[in-house]
Amino acid sequence: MQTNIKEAPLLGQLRRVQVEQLIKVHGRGLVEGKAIASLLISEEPISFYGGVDPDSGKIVERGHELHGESVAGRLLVFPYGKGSTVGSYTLLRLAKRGKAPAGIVNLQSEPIIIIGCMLGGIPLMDRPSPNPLKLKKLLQGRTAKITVKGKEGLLEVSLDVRSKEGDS
Amino acid sequence: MVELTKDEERILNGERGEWLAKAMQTIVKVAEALEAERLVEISGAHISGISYKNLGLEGVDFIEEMAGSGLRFTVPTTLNPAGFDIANYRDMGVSDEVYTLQLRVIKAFECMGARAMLTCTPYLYSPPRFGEHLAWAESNAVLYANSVLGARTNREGGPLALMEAVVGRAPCTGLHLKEERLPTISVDLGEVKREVERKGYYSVLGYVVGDLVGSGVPVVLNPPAGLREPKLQRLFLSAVGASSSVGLLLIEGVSPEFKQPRGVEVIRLGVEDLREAVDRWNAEETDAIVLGCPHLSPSELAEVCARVKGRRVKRRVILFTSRSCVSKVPWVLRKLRESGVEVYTDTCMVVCDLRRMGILSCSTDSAKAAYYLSSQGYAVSLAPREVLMSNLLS
Repeated sequence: MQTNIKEAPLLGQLRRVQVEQLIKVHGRGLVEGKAIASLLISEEPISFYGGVDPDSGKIVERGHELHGESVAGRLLVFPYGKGSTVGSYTLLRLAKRGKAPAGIVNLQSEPIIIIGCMLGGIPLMDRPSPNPLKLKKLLQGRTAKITVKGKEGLLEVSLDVRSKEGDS
Repeated sequence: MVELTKDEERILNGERGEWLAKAMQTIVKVAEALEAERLVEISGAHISGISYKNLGLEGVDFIEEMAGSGLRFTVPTTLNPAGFDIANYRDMGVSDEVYTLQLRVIKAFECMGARAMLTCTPYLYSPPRFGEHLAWAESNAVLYANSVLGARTNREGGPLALMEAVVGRAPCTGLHLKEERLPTISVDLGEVKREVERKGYYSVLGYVVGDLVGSGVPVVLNPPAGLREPKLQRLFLSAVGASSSVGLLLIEGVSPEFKQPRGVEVIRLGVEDLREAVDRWNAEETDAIVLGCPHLSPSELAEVCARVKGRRVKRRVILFTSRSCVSKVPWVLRKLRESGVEVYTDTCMVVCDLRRMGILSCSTDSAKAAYYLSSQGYAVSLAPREVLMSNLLS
C-alpha cells in the first residue's frame, strides 16, 4: 500500500490538499487486457455453470454470498472456480452478450476460469498480493483498474480518503 | 516456466495457423498456472460438455467457427454423451429446435475428426494401453483408464480436453508423472468386505471411499471380490469420481501399478460408514428404474434382457447405453423394447432431462447418478442392481 499526497495548485490563500491512497495489488498475469470497473469481491468460490445466469450475468447459486448480484461489467475477485468444467463456455456466452466481468482476479486460477477468460477475452490475474479478499470491506464496490501484460498482473484501487482544506 | 519444443514454439507463434496458435496458447497458460515444466504428447482425447444445454448458442457458434477454420483433432478423439438420444429425441420430449442445435454441435466435432461415440465408456470400445498418455474429460473414464488399465490422464475439463485434442499435447503434470502416481493414503476395506460382497454395495462403497479421502492417490487394500469384475469396477469407480477429485486408485489385485503402501496414513472403513451412505438416498415409490451410469456394456444389456425373459415389465424401466453397445447386440435391443423397456443411446440420466419424460423420482444402482440426480431435485432411491432387477416383473 502506498500513499500519494498530491498538492493542488495554490488558489489564493486556500490550498486544497487531496490525500489519495492508492492500493496496488500485484499478481501473476494470465490473460492480457486492461479494464476499469467497480470491484465485486466474493470470499466463496464461484461456479459459472449453474451458478451464474448466462443471459444476465446474475449470480443465481442459492446460498452464495453474492446471490442476486450481477458479474456484468464488474471487476470480479474470488478465490477460484468450482463446479462443472463447462463453466468456461458460460464465460464465453457472457462475453458475447456483453455481460461478462470486465476482469477477474483469483487467488489461484484453474483451467475453467483460464479457458473461459481466453475464450471471452477477459483480463485475468491470480496470486494477488496483498490478498484483496482480506481487504473486502475496504474495497467492495470501489472503482479499480486491472492491467495484465505478459506475466505481470496489476490491480490498482484508489481510495479517496478525504480532501483537506487548510490555510497556508 | 514451461519449456517448449521447437515444434511447439512454432505452433505457438502461429506458423501453423491462428486457431491452432490460440489452442496452444490456452494449453501453455494452463500449464503455467499448474506449474508444469513441459507439455506431454498425448495419444487420445475424450471431450465432455457436448450437450447443447451446456454450450448455449454462443458455444455452438464457437465450435462451428473452430471447425470452419479448418482446425482438426491431431489425436483420436471421442465424445461424451449429449443431451438426448439423437434418433429418438421426440420420445424424450425434445423440441425440433434443440435437436437441430445439438446436431450442429455433433456435426462440427465430427468435422474436426471426432468419433461421435457419445458415451462415457469409450474404454469399452477402444481401450487405451498401459502407460499411454491421454487427455480425458469424464471422471469415470479417467478413473477406469488410470486405475484399471494403467493409462495416464488427469481429470481434464471438457473445454481443456478440446484444446488438447487439437494440439495433441497436455500440461505434463499430475497423473502424467510417475512420481505423482504413488500412494498418498491407504484405505483398508477388510472390515466391510463381507458386507459389500453379500449385499452388493459396490457403488455406495465407491461413494464413501471418495468422500473420505477427497483427493490424492488412495491405495485400496483387501477389496471385496466383486472389484475384479468390470461391471462392478465401473459402478465403484464412477461413484469415487462423484464424491472426490481422485483420478487414480491403486486397488490391490486390480491396478497394474498397485504396490504395498509404505508410510502413509491408513483409513479403516467400518460397516457403519456404509450404512449411513445407503440411507442417504431412500425415496419410496419411484416413477422409474434407471440404469446405465456409467453406460451399460453389451453384456450388462444382455443380462437385463435375460432377467426380463421376454415378458412385459410391470414398472417403467429406462436403460442408458451407447450406439457402439447396441450395435454389438442389436437383437437384445429389440427384445428389450418388445418387453416395454425403454432403451436410449447417446445420452444418460444425468445429462438428459428426465422431467420431460414425466419422471420426478427414480431408483438407480449408481451412487454417481443418485448424487447428481438428487442435486437436480429428483427424489432418488439407491439400491444394488440385483435388488432392482428382482421386482421388474411383479
